[in-house]
Amino acid sequence: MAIPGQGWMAWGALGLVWVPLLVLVVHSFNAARLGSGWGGFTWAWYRAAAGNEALRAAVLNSVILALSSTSISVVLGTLLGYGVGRDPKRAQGWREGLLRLPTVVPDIVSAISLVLFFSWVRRWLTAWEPGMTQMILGHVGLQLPFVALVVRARALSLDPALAEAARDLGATPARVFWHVTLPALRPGVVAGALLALTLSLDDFALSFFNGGPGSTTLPVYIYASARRGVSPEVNAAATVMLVLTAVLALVALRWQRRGRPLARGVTPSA
Amino acid sequence: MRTVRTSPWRVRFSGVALGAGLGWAWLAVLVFLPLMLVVGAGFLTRGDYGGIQGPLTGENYRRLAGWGELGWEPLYPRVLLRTLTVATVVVVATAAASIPLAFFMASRGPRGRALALGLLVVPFWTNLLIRTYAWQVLLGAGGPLASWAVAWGWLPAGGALYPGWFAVGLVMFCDFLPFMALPVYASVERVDWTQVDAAADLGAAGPAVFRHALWPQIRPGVGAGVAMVFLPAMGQFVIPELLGGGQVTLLGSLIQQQFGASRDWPFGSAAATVTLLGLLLSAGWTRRGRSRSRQPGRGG
Amino acid sequence: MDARLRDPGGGEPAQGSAEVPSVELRDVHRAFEGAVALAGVSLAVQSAEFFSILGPSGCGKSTLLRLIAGLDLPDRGEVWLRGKPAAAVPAHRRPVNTVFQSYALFPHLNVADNIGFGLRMRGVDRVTRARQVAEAMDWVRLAGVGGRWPDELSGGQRQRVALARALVNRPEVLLLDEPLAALDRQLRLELQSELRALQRRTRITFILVTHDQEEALSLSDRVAVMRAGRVVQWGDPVSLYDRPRTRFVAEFLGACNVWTARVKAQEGREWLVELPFGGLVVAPGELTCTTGGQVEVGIRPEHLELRRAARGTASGWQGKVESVRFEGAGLEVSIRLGEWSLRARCGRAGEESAWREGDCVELSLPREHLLFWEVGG
Repeated sequence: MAIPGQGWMAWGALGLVWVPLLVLVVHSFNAARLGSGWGGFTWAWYRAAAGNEALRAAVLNSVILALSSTSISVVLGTLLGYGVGRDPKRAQGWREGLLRLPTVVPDIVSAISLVLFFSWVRRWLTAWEPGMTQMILGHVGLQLPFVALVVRARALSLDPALAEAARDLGATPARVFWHVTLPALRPGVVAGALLALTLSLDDFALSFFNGGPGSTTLPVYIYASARRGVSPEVNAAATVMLVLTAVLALVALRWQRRGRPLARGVTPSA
Repeated sequence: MRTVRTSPWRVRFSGVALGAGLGWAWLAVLVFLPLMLVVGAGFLTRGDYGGIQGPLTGENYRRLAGWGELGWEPLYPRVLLRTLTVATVVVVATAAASIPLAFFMASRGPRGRALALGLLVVPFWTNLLIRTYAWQVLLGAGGPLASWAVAWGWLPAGGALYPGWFAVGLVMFCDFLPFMALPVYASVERVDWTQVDAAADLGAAGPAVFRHALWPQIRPGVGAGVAMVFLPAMGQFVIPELLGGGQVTLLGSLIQQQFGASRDWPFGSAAATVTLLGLLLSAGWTRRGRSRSRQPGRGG
Repeated sequence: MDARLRDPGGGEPAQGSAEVPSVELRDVHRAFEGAVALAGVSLAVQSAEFFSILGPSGCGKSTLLRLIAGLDLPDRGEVWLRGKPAAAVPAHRRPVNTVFQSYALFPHLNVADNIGFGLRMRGVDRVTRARQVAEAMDWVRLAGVGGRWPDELSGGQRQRVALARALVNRPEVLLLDEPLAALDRQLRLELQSELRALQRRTRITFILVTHDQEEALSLSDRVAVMRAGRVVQWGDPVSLYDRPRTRFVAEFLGACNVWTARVKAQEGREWLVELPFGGLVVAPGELTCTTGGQVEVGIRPEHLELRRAARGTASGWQGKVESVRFEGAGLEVSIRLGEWSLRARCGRAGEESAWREGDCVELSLPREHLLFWEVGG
């Protein structure tokens, strides 16, 4: 069954999501300033972006923030998701609810909750200042439930006999985890990592409220320079980040499928 | 000899337990505890220098309900109402778009599905602010969309689609679409089509088939999507601020002001707590949807 | 043999000796949250034996397998492997390998790596591993599919990979948990004979868990029949089939006519039992019963003797053919005897066996084939 018009509605929706991205990329090569039509192709904005120290620092901060928070949340989230999902009796109920809850909290609320928390922490740790560390801690909190939920779903779909088979074949519990459980969870871990990366790159509220003077990320930089209007240099920087992310994602997806034939699910007749 | 229950291999690989414990600890300290602090701060008072001080009071909620020093005025109740309206519109619009989108994606082959999923997610590798600025260009006076609208006679010459309600709604729709589309797609992908065939076989026509054979199966996915969109939409403040042109103050903007310029953390916390209340509602909704979908004959 | 088979305490390896059983269970108990899975099981499986554990689902037979493999521990009682208590030997150090019901093939490893997993865990070098994997793939007729992925294989191929993955380690004991249950009949029969041949060739002790009595009877040297957490009877297939110790065993191993009958009298060392449809039969003196009490009497359908009823003779019982079911190699004839119905099975050879509905039939119950049990056994 098909919903009448589902095809063009789908393409329309996808188009709306992609329009701003195309504007961004096109204008990063546009010699004319934003909003004034096509003025010819140029690399000038890329050169300008590379020469803009504040912008460079902001991009670098965004990358550092995304990569470090993603690494932490993937490790913790995998263990957490597997810890919850390996036992179907535990996987549902309050544990699942506790993991789902943070995923629907508005980001502004998460952001100000951390502001309150760290101002409270400063009563004891007077030297604590908002900045990169606080942002990383916050981003991990944002990503962790998502990663754990994705890995949990994967763990739930695994045959519990897999780990037993490995044990039966002489693997110690640690080697069972390393040689069987982790590889079997891999699609979930990769998906969770990409999701975590997306969440971090897309965040503004948390960085805005929890950053410090030296930790300005790209979105905070843009917001701060909003009054002056957006410079096309920002488009260039954002395009570079987008390409880097895409490359990273492709590598991750390839690694997930490493060694696997492309045409999966094609079963030869018995 | 009696078997010892706590033989070494019976203890599960403790590294996993340790890691999972660390994950829970992280969530407890850096997510749940801060959220509880927000709830608590909502009942306190602003300090002289912007801090927080006692005693416990319901004053912040009185203010939210409209009672200020000068008697009742509907400023904050209006913000609340406006926020609920915007969030509801965004939820309905994203759901209405996600269902055909999900069915379309599910009707593709494995590669087509992966491609469509990618197309849905990749734009979010650029930051919300960057996308929002791109929309300013598109919708602003002289931008491509505004020019079309003028050419079609929908706008006066030199008019713009931004700032205003339309721009806020459109961009919020685009921003939240994947959060609705992904859970809906996940449930559409698992639809048991034999139920649809059975319904058609039993004489149901198009809309009736959808209502009786499909909707019960995709309802949990839509429920999850609603939870993922409604509350975050209530807290959205960047889009209204940048595209609303001062006309559209929502709850998120209110919170932002209290933690920014106004520096009234307790009042901001009270406003944030209101969005958390919605959380309980949506949790109840999903639970109800789930227990229903477990009933025999309802599939899912 | 390999180091894994030796006791970690450094005792003398006891393999090959006929007196020491491969696996011995001593009064093993196991319960899960109050539900009793095993209620005192004792068994001894000899070396190089093909042993089957047969029972309906939920009788505890899979739990038994897990206890032997070390994937679970008994609440009470002991598991001995090759003459040594195994309680302190964890699953990954037991000389036991399992073929799981779901096969449990590792989805991220190809066929060859799946099969070589156990060798890799034991630190066997790559070259030796490749050789042994190839050899194992030959055993199970899988040559040439080493590079394939588990999700590309048919059910029968997956089953063979699971078998090779266990056998390549040359375990002392191979456990098979309903290995053929998911396959269709033709393939099942084919793999059954392969299993049997493999066991003969490798001389590895096989312990097969199944609910399929035909499979157990045709493959095994000995069979243990389980019910509700206990072993009801064990022995070689022929004696189990011919002399089932309880009605449950008789009916589980094949079709059987069973009636409750009254003990009429004791005559010398034997009992006279009156069948419900009239007539007396003789039961052996070992049967525990009392005059006037009740016993159960059974006979397998193929042991009932049918003749065309000759008018005027009154030796044996007279009945009427109620229905005839064609079974290919033979006929199953349902006979009505007053209010009682009996099943008989006969070959198709000869005019004598061309039974039709409504035929009058005279039947006899040969004494040597009659089975007697206490009521409720």
